[in-house]
Amino acid sequence: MVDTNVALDVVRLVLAARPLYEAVVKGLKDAEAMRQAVASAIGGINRINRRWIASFLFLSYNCRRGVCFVVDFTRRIELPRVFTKLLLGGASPVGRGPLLDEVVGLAERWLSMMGSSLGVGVLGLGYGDFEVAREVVKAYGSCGARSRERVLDNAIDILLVATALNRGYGFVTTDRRLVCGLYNKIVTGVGQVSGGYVPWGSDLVCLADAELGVGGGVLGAKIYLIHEQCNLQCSERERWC
Amino acid sequence: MEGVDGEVRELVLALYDVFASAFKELYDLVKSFDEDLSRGVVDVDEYYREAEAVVRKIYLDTYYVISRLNEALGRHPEFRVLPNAAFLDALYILPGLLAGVLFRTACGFEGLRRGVVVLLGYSYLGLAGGRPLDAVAFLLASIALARARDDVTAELLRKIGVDLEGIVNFACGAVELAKFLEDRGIGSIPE
Repeated sequence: MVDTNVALDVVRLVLAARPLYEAVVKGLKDAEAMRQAVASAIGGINRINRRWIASFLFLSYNCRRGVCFVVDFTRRIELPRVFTKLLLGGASPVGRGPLLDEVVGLAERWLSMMGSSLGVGVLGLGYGDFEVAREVVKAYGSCGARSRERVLDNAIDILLVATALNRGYGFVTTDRRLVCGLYNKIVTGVGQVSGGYVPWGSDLVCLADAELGVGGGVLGAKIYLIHEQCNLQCSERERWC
Repeated sequence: MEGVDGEVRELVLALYDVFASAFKELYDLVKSFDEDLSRGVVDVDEYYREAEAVVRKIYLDTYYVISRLNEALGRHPEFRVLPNAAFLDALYILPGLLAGVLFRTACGFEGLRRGVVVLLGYSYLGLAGGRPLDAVAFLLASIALARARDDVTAELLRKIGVDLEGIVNFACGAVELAKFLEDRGIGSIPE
């Protein structure tokens, strides 16, 4: 199960390469265009970062033969934010329906494209996933009102973790804050995912175990965290419980 | 290197030697692979083992020299930070950027050329992502595909746990998704 942001990293990398690609297409003689494109990629707002590269590689290697999927995220914040930007910018005509419907419609089209383009399936949430999410909230309730409140503030992300737990799936995320928040109570083990040979490339993917006791049994899932600094030395303040 | 003592100078030169000899070894590996392909006799296992050995040697040599260098530089506060952040950034930003450019280029092609260029893109991406062995394997696989040796390409890719169709579809899928956004005026996705 892949968090939307990991899939968006893949697209970010390709978007960031556009200026240089266009400079190349225009012709290698245009040295100034090339210089500007490289400068923008190195120092600009679309600056490629190591997490995007790690996400691209991780999904390329692991999301084959239909084993990966994203949760239907059209009501989540990331994608509507992308498409809201487009609609408010006036680049796309707004139809008669409410603006939110336009945004969700576009997001749904893009999500369905993502399914076919990246070989990533789309997963709808079920009743059982919400039930497990409630158990997570309950577990944090035993840590006190403040812990419970912090969990509820991150309800959508908690729902994703609960879905992974409910179905026993791996969960790939870039959200270190979420993993650290759950540290101790749900996230129990941390290790390094092997795959790097050099110091600057070996620490981008971390593996954690998630466990939750429910009705006498234990639900478990693997959490893959892709992050620039994912050594998971979570501080006391970062933990929700 | 003015102001730095002889030990540091020696170590910096040793580091240059590591990189120079690594490039030479990789160049020889690729050249010999290409020649074997032309003759029609390629032992993929042997080339993969050789690539592993070169990468391991680069890693160990670099690690050793940089450790020694950091120790030596510790005695020179003015040079304590090496390699600097800009140098490390360049190690992944430029190859990562080139990978993106190659994916965009590749996906404008059809058939064999698409695969050849996507593999080359993955070679840069492997380099950017700290997977030099995979980067070499992708490079060799790209050369093999350019010589229409699909069997050699498939065998090399199997060794690193990917398949040609899967990664071509993935890279071109990413390009397609990016173009969908660009066609609608979105050139970047906020973090």
